[in-house]
Amino acid sequence: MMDPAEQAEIRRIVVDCARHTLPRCGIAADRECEDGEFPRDAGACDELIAFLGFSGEEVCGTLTLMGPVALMRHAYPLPVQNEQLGDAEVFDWAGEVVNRLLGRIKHVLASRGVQIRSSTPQVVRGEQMNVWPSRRGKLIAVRFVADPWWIGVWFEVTTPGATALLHGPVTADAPPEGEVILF
Amino acid sequence: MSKKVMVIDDSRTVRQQVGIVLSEAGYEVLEACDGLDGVEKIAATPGLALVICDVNMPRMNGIEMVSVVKQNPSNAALSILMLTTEGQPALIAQAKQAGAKGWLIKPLKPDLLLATVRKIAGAA
Repeated sequence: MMDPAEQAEIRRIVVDCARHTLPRCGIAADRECEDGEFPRDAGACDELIAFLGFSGEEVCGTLTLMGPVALMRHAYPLPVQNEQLGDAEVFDWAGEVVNRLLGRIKHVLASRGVQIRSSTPQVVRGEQMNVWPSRRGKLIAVRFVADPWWIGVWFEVTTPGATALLHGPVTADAPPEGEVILF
Repeated sequence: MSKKVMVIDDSRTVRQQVGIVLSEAGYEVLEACDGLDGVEKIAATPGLALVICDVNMPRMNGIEMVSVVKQNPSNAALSILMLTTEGQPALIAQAKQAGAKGWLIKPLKPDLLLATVRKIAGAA
């Protein structure tokens, strides 16, 4: 089981990584939503969920992003011909965003000696969707304001080895993001 | 004639982002959507100057693809650069062992990508 200090530390990592990565993917994610902000029962909303799994010796779990389709359309990074942006492109970008966010989290965990590998992302579209925690893991849920929309980040993590996940020394073993290594 | 670079990634957006950078620099860019598609298209495309390849992809991952491609002696001189969010030393070592030329960790920095491509493949 994870202790409260570990949960708080993982939440801090997830929030920091989201604040770092999402703006670089065109999603402002300025601040965390306050209570009652963007209530989920305010009416039907066309939403995307992008998620991928990860696993390693110390941890495994799932990272999920959820937000309005309009936000993902707005964040799409390439020029759009004839003002026509298809669903396939929006789905693809949502998958890449969750992949990059997990990439950032992987990098932070690796600097603490925790190695994980990820699956390929999956994306689904629907209305009034929600994420439920499994019985095995601990779900860390954060919602950000991405004015005028919102985006949710769910990080579910299980520690099968019950190791001191985040208490290891911070190392410099993990190559930094954006670095190139030539062999 | 422009040098040919093949970009292999399951994200069409990433393929296009890389393609725009390289096309604007004068390279001819070809695309494949996963490792298996990459193996087939590399075999069908003589004269490739460089392959840029993701790691986590459906059907066949990037490191498996490098191994398969490098088993063909005619690809011995073909340079393959991995472009991925992964940074595990063990994975990087696997790619090197399989015959990759380098490893670039996302997020994509266009200037660094272009400098690396020029260093490996030469100017367009």
